[in-house]
Amino acid sequence: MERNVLAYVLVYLFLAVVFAFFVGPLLWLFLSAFDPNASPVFEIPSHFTLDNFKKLLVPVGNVIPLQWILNSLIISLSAATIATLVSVISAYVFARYTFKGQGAMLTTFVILRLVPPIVIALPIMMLYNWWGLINTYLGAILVIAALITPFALLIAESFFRSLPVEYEEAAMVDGCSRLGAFMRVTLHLAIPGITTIWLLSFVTAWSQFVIPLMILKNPALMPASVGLSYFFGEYGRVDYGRLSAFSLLFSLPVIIIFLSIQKYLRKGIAGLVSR
Amino acid sequence: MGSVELKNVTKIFPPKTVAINNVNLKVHDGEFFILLGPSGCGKTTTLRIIAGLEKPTKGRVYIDNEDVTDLPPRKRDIAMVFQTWALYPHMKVYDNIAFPLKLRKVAKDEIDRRVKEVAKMLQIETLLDRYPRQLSGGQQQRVALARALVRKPKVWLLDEPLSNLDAILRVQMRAELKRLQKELKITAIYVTHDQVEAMSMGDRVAVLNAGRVLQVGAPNEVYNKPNTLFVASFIGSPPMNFMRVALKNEGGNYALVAEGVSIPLPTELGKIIEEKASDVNDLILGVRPEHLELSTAEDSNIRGEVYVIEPLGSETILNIKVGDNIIKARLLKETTLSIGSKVFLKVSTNSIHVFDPSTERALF
Repeated sequence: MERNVLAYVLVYLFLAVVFAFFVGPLLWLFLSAFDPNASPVFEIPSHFTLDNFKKLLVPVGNVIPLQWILNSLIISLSAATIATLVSVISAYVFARYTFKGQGAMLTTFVILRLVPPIVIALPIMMLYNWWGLINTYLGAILVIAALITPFALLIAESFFRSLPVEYEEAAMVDGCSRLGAFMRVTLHLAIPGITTIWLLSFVTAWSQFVIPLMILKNPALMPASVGLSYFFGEYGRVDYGRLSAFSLLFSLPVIIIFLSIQKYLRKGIAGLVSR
Repeated sequence: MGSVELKNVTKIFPPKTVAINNVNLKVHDGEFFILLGPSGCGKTTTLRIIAGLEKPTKGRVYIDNEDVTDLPPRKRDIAMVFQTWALYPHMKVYDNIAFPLKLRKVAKDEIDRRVKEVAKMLQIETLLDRYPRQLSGGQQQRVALARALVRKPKVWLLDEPLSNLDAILRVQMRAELKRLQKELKITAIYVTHDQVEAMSMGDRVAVLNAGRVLQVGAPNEVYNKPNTLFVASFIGSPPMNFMRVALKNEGGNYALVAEGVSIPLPTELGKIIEEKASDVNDLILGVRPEHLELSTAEDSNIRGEVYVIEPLGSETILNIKVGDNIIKARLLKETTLSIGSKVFLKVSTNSIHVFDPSTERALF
């Protein structure tokens, strides 16, 4: 009996440590964002204020920090949408047709997924120099979308395979063309899967650092992940309150999007697991 | 209106799985036609080729004498009920049934009229507002039938539509489907592995095995005159009894003999077998359990001893050891026999089947 109690205590102690390890920094971030005298020390603010958020409207260099969040939104929304479109359409072909070299192509996508982005940095920079895509949203969007696509395609392919082909066949017998069956039936059934893919793509794009750092040199075009570094001033002087407020805003879109589509997300992930 | 014809149809799935091999079939207008065979025999592939969901590797498909081999499913004027029913999960029952009409741009009030008409016929009027997941198996099956009937197609294709129902519902739906098909005078092609379904529903049955059509005919014909060992063994429950026998000819008196078996044959029949068999000393005798009757020792042509007795209420299945074989006899009366007792059986020569083991074909 006593051993049991001891085991419980140890398990809960362990869980508490793990919990504190993950939640501690977030809690610090949250508290500091509203603390007028934020410092690296973990403390409850004397009073809560929105001053730190107001400071985000004051330019750093000559860019208002909120612009970086906006840039992140533009880049991530576009890259995630492009990657989802491309991967969903090609995954459908992979899942529903058989053709020569199919397996080899899928394996290639897995390998592409494993290559660290930095490896392809030099060739991309050279190409972009020729094409004049350095310092453009489009440039960043295209590379990020291309990096996400193989991963999105693999997920989409397994999702389509989990959808019974009979629905499409029934639609074709009922009077649809192949494309019609895809649009009217398969796409509807795939909404949870597509939503999951889009969200995962968005989160991946949102946290991209190396690629935008390379391509977007102009501070006015930088996404929040890169802009964040501008809060670390000269000689290591940091306004922790402003940094925390910005970091909080940086995390917010991902959380909001997740909460608003979690109904689909659960179905989508269930679909992936059921394969 | 809707006849279907398959001419020399072969389907090979890459790399080289031959699903169906040179199939020729003609289904008449208004007929209830059954494709019967064990799983993997190619019956579903045949149906899918008629539907246009698979393209034949060789051969042509005709619907109403029009070559439809290269037409997509939507241009063939067919409807299909899938084994899994394939009701669109994101549409309500009403929209599921209306879907084929909507795609053909039928006027809204006409759609409404026809959906309600077919729903009434299948007794699902009260379910129109529900989603498929809110229905029982039997209800889903009716909705699938309704969706296939609402358009009044030329040909109705059914792929084991009853196999997902429980036994009681299956028997009930069997009768209902047949009535519906006769009432609407629609050509139906029905795939099943269940020989009882085939016998009870079909106007004609095609028995398939290993991608080939072995026999086509009315259920009684296929039952009474199976042309191969496979057809004989596949149709009938309990299945036909088989025994190795030899043909003896003693001065023009023919008889099929084996241990415990001695069936005298009319001279004519004996001659036919003698002529056609590749080896008269190695033949397969087939007798259906229902054609065996108890008799006296003098009248009997098969004798053995009781191995197991299975009383089934309305009938009794007697398992009898004859030589090295266990054969079954179906008796309509209760029996006083007990395990181990000697038993004498009689079979009329009109009810026996003789097959050549090397070709597996019937000899007469």
